[in-house]
Amino acid sequence: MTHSTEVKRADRKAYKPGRIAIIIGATIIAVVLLAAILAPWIAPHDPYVQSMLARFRPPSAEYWLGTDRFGRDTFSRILYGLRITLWTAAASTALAMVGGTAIGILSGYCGGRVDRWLSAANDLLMSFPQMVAGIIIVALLGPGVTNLIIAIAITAFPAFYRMARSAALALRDRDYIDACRVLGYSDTRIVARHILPETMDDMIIIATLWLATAVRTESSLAFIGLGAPPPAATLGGLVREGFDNLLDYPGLAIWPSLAILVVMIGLNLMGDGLRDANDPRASA
Amino acid sequence: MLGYFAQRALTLIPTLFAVLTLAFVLVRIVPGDPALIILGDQASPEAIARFHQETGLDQPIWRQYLAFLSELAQGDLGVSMISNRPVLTSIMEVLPYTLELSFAGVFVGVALGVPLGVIAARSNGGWTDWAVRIFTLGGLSFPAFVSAVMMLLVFSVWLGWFPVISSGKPITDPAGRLMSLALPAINLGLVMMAYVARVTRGGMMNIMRADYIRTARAKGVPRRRIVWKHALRNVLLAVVTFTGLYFSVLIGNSVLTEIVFNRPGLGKLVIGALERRDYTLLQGLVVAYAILVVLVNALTDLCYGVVDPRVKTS
Amino acid sequence: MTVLRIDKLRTTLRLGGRDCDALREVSFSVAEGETLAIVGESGCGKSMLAMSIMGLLPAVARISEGRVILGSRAIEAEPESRMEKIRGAEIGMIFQEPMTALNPVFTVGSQIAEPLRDHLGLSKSEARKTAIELMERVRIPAAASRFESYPHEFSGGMRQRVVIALAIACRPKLLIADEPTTALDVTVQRQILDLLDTLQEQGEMGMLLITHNLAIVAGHADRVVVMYGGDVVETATVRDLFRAPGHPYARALLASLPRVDRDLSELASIPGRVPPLAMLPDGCRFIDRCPHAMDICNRMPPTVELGEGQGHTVRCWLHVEGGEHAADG
Repeated sequence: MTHSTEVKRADRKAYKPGRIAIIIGATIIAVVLLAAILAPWIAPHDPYVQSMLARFRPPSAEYWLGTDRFGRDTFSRILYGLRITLWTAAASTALAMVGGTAIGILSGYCGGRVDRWLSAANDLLMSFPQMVAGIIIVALLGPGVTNLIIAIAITAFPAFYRMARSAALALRDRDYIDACRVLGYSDTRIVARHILPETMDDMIIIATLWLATAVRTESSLAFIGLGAPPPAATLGGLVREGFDNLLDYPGLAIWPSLAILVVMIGLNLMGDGLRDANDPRASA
Repeated sequence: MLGYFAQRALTLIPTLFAVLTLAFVLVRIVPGDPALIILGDQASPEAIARFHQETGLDQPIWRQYLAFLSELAQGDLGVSMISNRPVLTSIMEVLPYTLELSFAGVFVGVALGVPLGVIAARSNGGWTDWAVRIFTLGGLSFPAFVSAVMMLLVFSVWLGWFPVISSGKPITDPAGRLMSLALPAINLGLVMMAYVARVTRGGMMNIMRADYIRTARAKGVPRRRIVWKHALRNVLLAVVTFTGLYFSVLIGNSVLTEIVFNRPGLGKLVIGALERRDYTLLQGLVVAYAILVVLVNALTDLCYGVVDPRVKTS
Repeated sequence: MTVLRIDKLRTTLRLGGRDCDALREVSFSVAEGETLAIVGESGCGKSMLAMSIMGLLPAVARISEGRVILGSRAIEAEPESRMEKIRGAEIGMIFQEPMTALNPVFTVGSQIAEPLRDHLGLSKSEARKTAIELMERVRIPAAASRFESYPHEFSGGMRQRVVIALAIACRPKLLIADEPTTALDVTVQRQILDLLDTLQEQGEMGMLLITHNLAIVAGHADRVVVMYGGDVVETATVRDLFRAPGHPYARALLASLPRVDRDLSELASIPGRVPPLAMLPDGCRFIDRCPHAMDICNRMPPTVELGEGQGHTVRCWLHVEGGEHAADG
């Protein structure tokens, strides 16, 4: 190491992107997660029970955030909406991560024709507007949480595929992988024991960042009317219902919007922080 | 330079072809017979057969595919299954609205995001950097429909600065059209701005360490010009690349924006086609989106050629 | 007349919460028309010295003591706005890496014309004319037609000529050449060095030639400053240094040159390398690698004049009368 590299390193260290971001983000997510899990116990009202006597109530001690046009408690519906949003986002990201990583490693490790065709298919998927693809896939598959999860997973697939593929491509030609081959280890074992663990760190960071995107896609689809079918409460669906009464009861749109924002900010803070902590240059 | 574009154009052809095929396949793997959906469960077998014949669904799949391609080559996207209007006419009617919204959104995003990113990079860890960081984090966290609803509420409903519904104003009313474009464009632009600011900041941080920046400083170029001319011209390369990649996100956001502001456009047309199960219209829209994405890629390359002199000569 | 005088310059770096001196008590001067070579291994502080003179130190470094006097004016504490008017106008600089030293998105001509317009206030067309003249002076063939070319259309050697043209554009008093040929092919190296010699003969410009290559020193410099670990360990004319090096490090450097007339028994090469900044010793910084290290070498050695007024100085206890015993007293 020459002195000029020492100086450059010290120069960069002068700016530390906070570990604070991860802590705040993780705290937000933990609270939101807890609220979603405990929803059946902490929700003050049943989110599905309609009450014609309690329509469009303003926030009060009984209805913390007021009621909607069927007299359902907005706060309770937001809590239940969080359940669907978080579950959909987590499941679809996990699905995309498993699928993308598996196929990405296959593509990078095999190389040659397999790699060319898989990459071309992936490019095709990437060239199409994500949101529009999501809309069309959900519409074709039909409504339902499972279909929603599949649709979002498909739109998230390329990010994981690309990362896994390039990691596998880079690792494939390393000496120790060659050594494994000489020792007669099977390809499965090489991938499972040596390539997969090496890609895990990057995968987790991408997954955190994509969780935020999945939340956004889920709530957007629900807003359009392609989310979990009624009477299920979804955050995007709640915003949509509120939007239809925006002039008279703006609160109905504002509260679920804020809930979405809190989740998004928590996830983005965590993803940002993780990326900074893992980036040796720690500048972006 | 011409050779470069010709070469880039050639690589776009297989992509376009593949997406067209995908569009064709997509609307044909729908579960259920479109005839039943459109004519209803009670339709007589004769009516169904007639419908199949009219729409070409009685032909073998490869013949349908060839017909699709040959009609496409003649600029014919078929006729709507519901309204019997030519799909192309429906699309061309609303395309200007989506295009103006997209380009205005990109303009707002770049015009705000680049300076913000530069300022953040210059402050590097100072309070402006943190302010921009938090501000952009907010931008990244707003789904486009949430920001659209909020802006509609604040600026149109409460403050009354903009029309609540920005539906199609004719081009003969430029002031009205601009007013109805403003809020949706700002909505698209603000979300994009957050990304652009981050790309710019990161690029700026790297480029300010480059050797040629040191050369510029050594010849006494004032700091301000080093940042805004010498470094920024190079950062713009990254911004152009990013904008090209971001376009598909932008198109998605424009669908949501069109819904909230009740603007005509491709997005609203997609939703309408899905609600009415108008598969020919849907197929035409997928083709339109594919062509749009390919054209934007070509445009990105063109911009890249303008900003980066290395492209022109090599 | 003296173009540049460095007086007891100390540049301090803040590394991991600690201050360490990247340069200590550095003193020397460059006269009009003179080429002064700064020699040493990488990590000896050569580039830090250049950046201290230019006022282009990184944020973690600062000049904590001493003076940098350009002509008759001290510039070590000038604010950035004043340094911008000095850099490029009164001091020109050439860098090691010509491939990356030019901005890829601007034409070569505009990059040469920029300091002409900034410092000399030339109009656009005047600057263009002068820039083309400069390109001819550094022997870029077909200069007028290459004004609009971009850096990527030039070879490494040609790019270095462009860098030289923009460094000398405003006729600076001082030219700093930081390893100007290290990254170039041997044949191109020669051409660039000859070009620098010619340019200097044409005017009164003083040149600071930073290099690790003693062959270049022998062929192109008038005097030499040998640096080690941020200290000036020896200052001499080229002739004196090659004939009678005083400092053990200078001797070792010379011994590493293959020469027939030199006794190679002493130190064919120097084992070890320059220690990292944070671990530099307080006394003589060569102590760990020096074959003559003594107890007293843990204290900073003084500068000793050798010969009679020849300007040959060495910073080493070996040359202090009774130095071996000074530690006891």
